[in-house]
Amino acid sequence: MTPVEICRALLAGVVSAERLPELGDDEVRQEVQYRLSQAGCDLVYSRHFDSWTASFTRGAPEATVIDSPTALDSLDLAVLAVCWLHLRFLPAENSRLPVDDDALFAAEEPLEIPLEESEVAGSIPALSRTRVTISVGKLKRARFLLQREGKLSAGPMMDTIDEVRATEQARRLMLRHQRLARLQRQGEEQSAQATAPGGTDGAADAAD
Amino acid sequence: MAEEPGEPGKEPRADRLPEGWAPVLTVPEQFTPLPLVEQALPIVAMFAGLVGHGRLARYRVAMLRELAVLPRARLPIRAIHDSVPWMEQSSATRLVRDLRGAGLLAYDSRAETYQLTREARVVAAVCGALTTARVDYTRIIKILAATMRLADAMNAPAQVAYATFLSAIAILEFDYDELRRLLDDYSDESLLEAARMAESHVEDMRSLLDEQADMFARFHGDAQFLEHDQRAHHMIASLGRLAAEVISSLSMRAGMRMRGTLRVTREDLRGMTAQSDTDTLAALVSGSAQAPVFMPTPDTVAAFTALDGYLSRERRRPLPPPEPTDLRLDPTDAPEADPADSAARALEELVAAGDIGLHEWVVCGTWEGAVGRMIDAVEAWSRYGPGGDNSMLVELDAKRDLCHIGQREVGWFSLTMLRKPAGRSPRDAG
Repeated sequence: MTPVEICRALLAGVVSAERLPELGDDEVRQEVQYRLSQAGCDLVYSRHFDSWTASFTRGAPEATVIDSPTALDSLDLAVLAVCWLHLRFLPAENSRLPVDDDALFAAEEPLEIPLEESEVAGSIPALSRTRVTISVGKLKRARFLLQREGKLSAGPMMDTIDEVRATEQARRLMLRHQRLARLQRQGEEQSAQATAPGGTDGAADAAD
Repeated sequence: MAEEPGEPGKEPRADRLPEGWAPVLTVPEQFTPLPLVEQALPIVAMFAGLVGHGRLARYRVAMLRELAVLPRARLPIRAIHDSVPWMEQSSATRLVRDLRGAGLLAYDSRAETYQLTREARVVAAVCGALTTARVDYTRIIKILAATMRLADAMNAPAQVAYATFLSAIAILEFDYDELRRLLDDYSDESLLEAARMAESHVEDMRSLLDEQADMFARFHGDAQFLEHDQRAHHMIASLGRLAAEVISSLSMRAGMRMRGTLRVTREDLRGMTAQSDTDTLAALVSGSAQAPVFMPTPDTVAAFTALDGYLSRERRRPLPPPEPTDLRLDPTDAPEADPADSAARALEELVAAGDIGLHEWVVCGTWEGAVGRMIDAVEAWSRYGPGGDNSMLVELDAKRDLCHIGQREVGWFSLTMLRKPAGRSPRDAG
């Protein structure tokens, strides 16, 4: 296929890398990237699905000013973030933990556990169930998510997320959450000790 | 280890061998590397000429380097003086004579000029390349590879490159042993440093094999060489894997420390997302997640879900206020009869025929008419009933029951019976 034909295919949908062997050539890939960039698009490769497609260039105008059925608003992105946390962040974090002290390193691919939509809705109580359903529908159409046997798993567009940056931010949020939970637990324990019989002396000692 | 430089004016060390001494060989000389070395001696001797006379060596090397970079090949003594302005001219002249004596400078008596010999240019270049305080061990394979290239350029025998290759393999083997030793010592910092160095050596060795592939091809008939070649590739694989394992393991441990051994469960994750606002969550992916360009098929489930949500919102809206209408205005100049009086008369007439329900008179015509008659009946009862002047010959008996009407726009009516009061004559309406 010529670079123009490849661009047409990429703009039409997600194409398996096997069907586009031409993109393995640096010159062809650069030509395709250049042509897509002229129309405000990026060439996107999905590592997990070994496939190519085109997405809008990052830093495009705000989605709110564009009347587009595919544009993702901040609520859609919040739902996407929750799905990414469950489907990619959680398995990746846990796969980095050493399973065995004797093993130098465990180099297995993180295992993704599919999600129920109810679990997504339960993770964002700020959004109504209907709103989560609508966002999940948009994310499925945009191939950020796939649905198999009623469960959600990561789609090829999930690979476009900048995992390094997102992982760092997620770790910060998680650490803050864990610290707050720990402080809350400690506070509850202290207040329980203070109210327990004979606990006031200990509290007084601690205050001293 | 570098040998300590001797102090100026000191006697040579006692352990240095006297010049007249020669080692005893166990085999004839032609079976030793000495003939090969003999070939290299003329140039090696020039190095000796440069550095072999104690404290003057650095002046000679410095002057040779200055002369090697001059743009002219033939140099009159004045040009040489100009090229080393930092040295007194008579001293420079003496050093030039010394270099000439060592075979590094040739003198043309007719033109009265000096020029560097070919060998001297190589010596100057090598001396320039060696201008460093010590050999950096991380670059040792690179240096050996460079000497192999130099040997190739000098058209040296292939055995020289072969020997250098063996030396490079020995370095990899040393690195491997060192890594194993440090692994047993549990010394993280030294281990990581050694692993990184070993990894760089492995990479350099791969480059060396690639670069010198043509040269090694000459030895492919040599079984011993093939054995060494196999040894080199084995070391590249073993050392490379071990170094990668060590680096990965130590980096992972460092990463764990940096994260404070963060362990994430699904429950934690759910708690974190539940407590975060949607903007914070969206910020995790908003920088990079961009919608694809292709237009997917619409999701009918999502569309009808959205429609249902929209319609649900519509139903919950409060009813709109009624449309404004003009009020009916009655003329004031032709007053009608008092409706309460009319009502009293009508009720008395009804009661004269027997007991009857109030609704029989009230429910008639339109809703507005019925409401008006009800008001009139109440007004008549107030004025002319027991609460008023008690002149009305009708008694209203309000029951607790409801009477079903179902017509004339009236559904139900509170049951009220009209009776004629006992022992009273009809009142005079006038």
